[in-house]
Amino acid sequence: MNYMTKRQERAAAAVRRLTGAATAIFTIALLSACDVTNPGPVQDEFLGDEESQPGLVNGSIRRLSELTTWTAYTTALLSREIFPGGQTGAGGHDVSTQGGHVQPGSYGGYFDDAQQARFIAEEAIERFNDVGASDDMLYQAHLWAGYAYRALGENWCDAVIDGSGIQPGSVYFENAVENFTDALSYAANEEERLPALAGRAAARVWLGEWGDAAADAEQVPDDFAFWLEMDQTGSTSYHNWLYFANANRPYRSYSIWNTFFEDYYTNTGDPRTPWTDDPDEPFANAALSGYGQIPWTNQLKYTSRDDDMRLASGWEMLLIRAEAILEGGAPGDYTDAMDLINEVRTRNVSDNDDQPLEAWNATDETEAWTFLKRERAIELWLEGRRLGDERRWMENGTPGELDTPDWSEISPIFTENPRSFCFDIPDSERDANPEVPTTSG
Amino acid sequence: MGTNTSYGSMNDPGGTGRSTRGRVGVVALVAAGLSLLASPVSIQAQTGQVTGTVTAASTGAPLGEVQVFIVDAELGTLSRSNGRFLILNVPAGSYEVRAERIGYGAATQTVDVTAGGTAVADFSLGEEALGLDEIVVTGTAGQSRRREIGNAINQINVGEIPDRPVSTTDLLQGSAPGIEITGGSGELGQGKQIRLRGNSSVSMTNQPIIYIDGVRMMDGAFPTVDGQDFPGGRGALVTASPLDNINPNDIERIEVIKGSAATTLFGTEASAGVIQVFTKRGSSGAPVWTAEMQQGTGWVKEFGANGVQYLHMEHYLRDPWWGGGYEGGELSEPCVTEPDSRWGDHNSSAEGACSWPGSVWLQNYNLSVRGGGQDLQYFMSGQYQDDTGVMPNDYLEKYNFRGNFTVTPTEGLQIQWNTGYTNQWQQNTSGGNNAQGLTLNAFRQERNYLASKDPRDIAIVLDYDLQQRIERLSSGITLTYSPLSNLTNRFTVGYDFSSQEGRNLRNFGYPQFPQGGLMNDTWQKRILTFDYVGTYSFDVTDAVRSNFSWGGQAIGDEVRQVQAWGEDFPGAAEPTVGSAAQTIANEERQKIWNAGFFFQNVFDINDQYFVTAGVRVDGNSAFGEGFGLQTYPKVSGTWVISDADFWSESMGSVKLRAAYGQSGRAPGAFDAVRTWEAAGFAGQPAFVPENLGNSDLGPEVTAEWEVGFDGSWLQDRISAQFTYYDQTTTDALMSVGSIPSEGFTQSQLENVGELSNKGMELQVDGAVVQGADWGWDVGLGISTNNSEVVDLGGIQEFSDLNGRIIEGEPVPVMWDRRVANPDEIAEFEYENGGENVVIGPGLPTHFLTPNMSFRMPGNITLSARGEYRGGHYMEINEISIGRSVRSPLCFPYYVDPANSIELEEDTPALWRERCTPGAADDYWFDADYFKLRSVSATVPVDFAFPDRVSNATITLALNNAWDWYREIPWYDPEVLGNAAANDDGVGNQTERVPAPATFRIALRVTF
Repeated sequence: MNYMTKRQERAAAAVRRLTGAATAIFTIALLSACDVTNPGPVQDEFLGDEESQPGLVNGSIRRLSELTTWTAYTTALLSREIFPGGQTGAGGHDVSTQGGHVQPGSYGGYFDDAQQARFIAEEAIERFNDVGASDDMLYQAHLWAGYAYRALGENWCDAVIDGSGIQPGSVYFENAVENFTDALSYAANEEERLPALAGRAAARVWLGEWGDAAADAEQVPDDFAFWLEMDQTGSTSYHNWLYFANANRPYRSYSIWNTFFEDYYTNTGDPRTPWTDDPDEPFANAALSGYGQIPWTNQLKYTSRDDDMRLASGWEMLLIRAEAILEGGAPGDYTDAMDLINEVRTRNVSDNDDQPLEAWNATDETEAWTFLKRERAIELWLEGRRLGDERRWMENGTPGELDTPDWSEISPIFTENPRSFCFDIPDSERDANPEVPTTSG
Repeated sequence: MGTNTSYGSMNDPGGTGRSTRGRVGVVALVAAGLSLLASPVSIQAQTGQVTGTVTAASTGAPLGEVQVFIVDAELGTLSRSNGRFLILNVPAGSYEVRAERIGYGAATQTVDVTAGGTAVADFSLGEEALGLDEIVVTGTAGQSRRREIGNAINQINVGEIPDRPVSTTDLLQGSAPGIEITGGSGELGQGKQIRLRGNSSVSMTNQPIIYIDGVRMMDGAFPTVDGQDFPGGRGALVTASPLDNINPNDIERIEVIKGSAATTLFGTEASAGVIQVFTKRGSSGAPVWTAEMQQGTGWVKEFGANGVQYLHMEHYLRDPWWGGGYEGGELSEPCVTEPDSRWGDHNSSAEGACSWPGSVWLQNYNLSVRGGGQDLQYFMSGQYQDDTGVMPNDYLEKYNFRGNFTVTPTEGLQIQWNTGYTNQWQQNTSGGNNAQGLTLNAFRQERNYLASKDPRDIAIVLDYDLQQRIERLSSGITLTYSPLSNLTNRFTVGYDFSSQEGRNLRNFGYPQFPQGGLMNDTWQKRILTFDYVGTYSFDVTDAVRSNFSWGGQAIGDEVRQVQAWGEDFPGAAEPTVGSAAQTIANEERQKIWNAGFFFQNVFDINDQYFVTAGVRVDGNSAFGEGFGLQTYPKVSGTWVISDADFWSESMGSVKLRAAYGQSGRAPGAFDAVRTWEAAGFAGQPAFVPENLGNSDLGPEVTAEWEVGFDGSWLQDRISAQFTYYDQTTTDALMSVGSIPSEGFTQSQLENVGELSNKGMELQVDGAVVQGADWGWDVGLGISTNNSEVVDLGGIQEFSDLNGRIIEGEPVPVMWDRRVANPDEIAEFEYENGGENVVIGPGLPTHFLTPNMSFRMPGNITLSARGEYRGGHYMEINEISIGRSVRSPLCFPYYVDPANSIELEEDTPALWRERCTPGAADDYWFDADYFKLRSVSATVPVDFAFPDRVSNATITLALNNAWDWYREIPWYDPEVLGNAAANDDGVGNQTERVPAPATFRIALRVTF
């Protein structure tokens, strides 16, 4: 028989202990394997805390910022505020969008941002009502829900909310008006009332509630402006893409060449539509079918990645009041409308001669409509509002001319891609939501 | 001499020298080193020597690299390539001398050694084509003989690979049916994608898990260094493989098990297969040193077309040693000949061939030693690699160290401690689909981000400084305790640490980022392994023996990543992120634990029939709260039919086998939980919806059955291994689209799908010529793999794995618009009214892996290995037609190919579509291709060294030198996408230079 030495016995005992420890480790590990909490993502239940309430409101604003910076860029192409440089992929758009067309079911990311902007705000309202919250929190949540709904309405023709079927796009504006109205009820002072009034006025325009729209607009001072924050120190998803996509860092994705604003700024020096060229960079990044390289010029409205984007302003309110007059929804005639339009216009001093811009002179109502449309195009240039305006005027059959250029001679992409005036309900919603048809149309 | 005396005192055949044990390893190492310098003459008076020749029994050919050692003594050597061996300094006495080599049966002889005398022992080793009594470990509880195992298992013995690969993934490429190693491109340090038997999952990775010496190590590849959400650019898009951080010279063998029938005991996470690397261990005997020096070079094969033979990259590619340059073709830009600090006067002419200054130089140095006594054996190694790549900024430097120690402190107890450390630095050229990448801007010419096709303008992107530092430490201790002859306990604790620090710097003054920007991306992964296996064997009856095993395993896997981004530097000094005016940071941490236990019993009936049954039960932190545990059963059987009474020896040796088993794949760490992202907004906290969550989420479970046989015939001159497998993945995890209008917009993983994956694998090897001087061995691997999406669980088809996931189609299937009238001189028309149509499988469905080895007198061996893949379709077009880039493929159809994309009127519809911006979809090709992976010659040069050198060979290896494509016009189909080795599919090529051909010379000396 072999006897173990003391050393052997110690070793054997150590192994027995290790084996026992191993068994214990596996038992504990098996039991605890289901109980690992990782840092980073926030589990749903933690958002019930009062401390989380500002974060929820900020979440809604962030999504609205992401939506706005991208839709301002994309709808600028669709509404021909800028000329496409051929750039696809990063910093650019697919060929059909550059041609002016939105492919059916596309731009799901924009839809996600828009829906989340309103969902987070409404989720916040529901949570705040459940656990109690300050009037300021409720004001903020309703205000941003209102602007989220306005953005949905201006950019999507059809409405889908919380898994519903397709509803008229006006539902977005009705919800916007409702939320702005609630925001007004929680507003602590006049300063807080103005963004809600301005937002509600813009939403009521879409509902044809001209009198109410003009009434809201009239309460907003001319120099009021409400900005949506863009941030270059944060995520690229909400820095100013109209700047970054054309800042030559490295993207030169579009041009002002061949747009209405190329000649307009040259001729008038209107400081609201500045652009420049760069002799060292004569061309945009890519090229267009049938044309080739695109002469590159760049807008100067936004000159850094953290240039904020305007959501509402007193000048827009004047134009709403002018439009209400032309629509017959407010007292006055086209000359009164022109007075309001020229009030917006002549406050600006030309970059060419340091003189105030010349007033528009309309001889009839139709011409007044033309100047209204032009002045909105200039005042709201690159703010993501033009495409909605074009659609609204088209749907309402308003008189007057648009300054949208015809580029069909330049490249076949402008003839092969019929212009779109809103985004479609995306495939992601159509595929997942049984209440929505899987194909558009 | 003193050292020799000390060493001699350790050679204590009587085993009385216990007090020296603790110092054995250190002393042995020192002794071994110094013994090289010492003269053996003075001790010849007390010792003799043993010499002899080892030959192969079947041919009489000499066998090199046979381990010949004196049993119970610490003396041994390796045979030379002519079969000769010499063991010096053997104390006078009677000994058993043993000869062993993988793939051959061991042999033992008794010799009497006299003082000053020479004892002779010649060995003739029989080949074991089947190796039924070889021990395998992976997928079994403890260890098993090959005859007991009911599933296919591939064992790759690295010593038998002739071309001395410098990376482990190269070593595995084409090594056995069912092993698919894809990738490699022109960047130094680029990893490869690994798949075993294709895809068994849509949503989770199909990357097999990897073990090294029983310790779970990092699988997948290191991530690319690119700021996900920063303006930090995409960098070099290089994803190094952790497998390639293992020095191939340290590897003894690799075991590969490919399906759930074999991987059940690994449980969750093992359904894509398991690769286990076994590094070399020490062995009793005098220190055996192996030194190897490799010098190599490389060059890029043509990958352009129609007068643009390198897609305008010829200006930036380094030459091989012998120069020659790269001739771009008639429509390429002139070579840079005017004074330019970057090219100097490297190019003498604007016409013809040109290149980037310098030449490709691949250097690899290895030194290892193995040896030890009865109680401690050691293997230690070091490697230094220093490469200059084909791309202008590409350099790589790597250090590798390994120490493996086996200690036997007492009878029945063995402690194995293995540790490997790697430190790799690499600098790469910005590339891939990167606006500031060299390849993209060169491919796109005047349509690029620099609006210039002048090589001097494009070369400004070379100021983009991209560096990575990779460190890996993998260490494990295994205690094997056998208190009784029939009871064994094995406990392993392991720690595997991987770290990558990437720095992407555009310094102050960089033209496209004048104020400068720097991203530092530090990524770390830690894996903890606890593994216990107990085995108890007992006789049930005289004819039936039972091996009962039990055990458990816990794997903790943690990833930490911190990215810091800074921009706007004060000046041109070497910056840090902190010196930037504006900074952003991001941190991610994720930990997953998987733990399980198992039981298994093997019934051994007359050593001829084996029946195995087992079960594993797992919990995983990524399972939903309501899910619970997952059970994976297995059962298998083998019949060594050639051991049956009715079987005659002339019918060869045959083992029949069948196996069934299940294993799984867990969802991701957060998939089961409803979460919000703490996104932040303008410096304030902000929450946005992230993951919808599903508390019932569990693993997808792959069940596989396989049948096959292993056989050898004609005195082992022909051998074959055949397997048919059929996998079904149920509860397959599919990304079910959430309803965006409900707020949570990300897709949610659900256990809803079912996938099928089946095929066959056949490996046939034959010795066509077997002679003492001449030999010719050939081998052919044939495998098929056909997958199908059986059920999508009611969800819509979707895109994944670089293709489309459609019920009834392969996983994935390729899907796009096709031109209906390709040959007509007319406007193109699409099939199916312009809707996408199914094109074919996205992954190869059949593979051929031929190899041959030709042996000549002097034991000079010529070898070749290739791989054919086919049955799949790929979209191959690296030119951005949509951006109106002039594509070389379209040159024959352009009116003025040097300046315009206007098409000739008689352009066929297919090419009209391919060359028209806004179209350009139909670049689909039958993707069948063949690659000659390696051609090598091994020349023994023992004669040039003294007798103390037991083995010396020179190996000449030519890798990746020749390709054949059935339809693919000009681009390497193994070039991967932006995620490179982490890409979840193939056929998503991005703008890269294909992997270069390489030529290497290696001198390897063992003494």
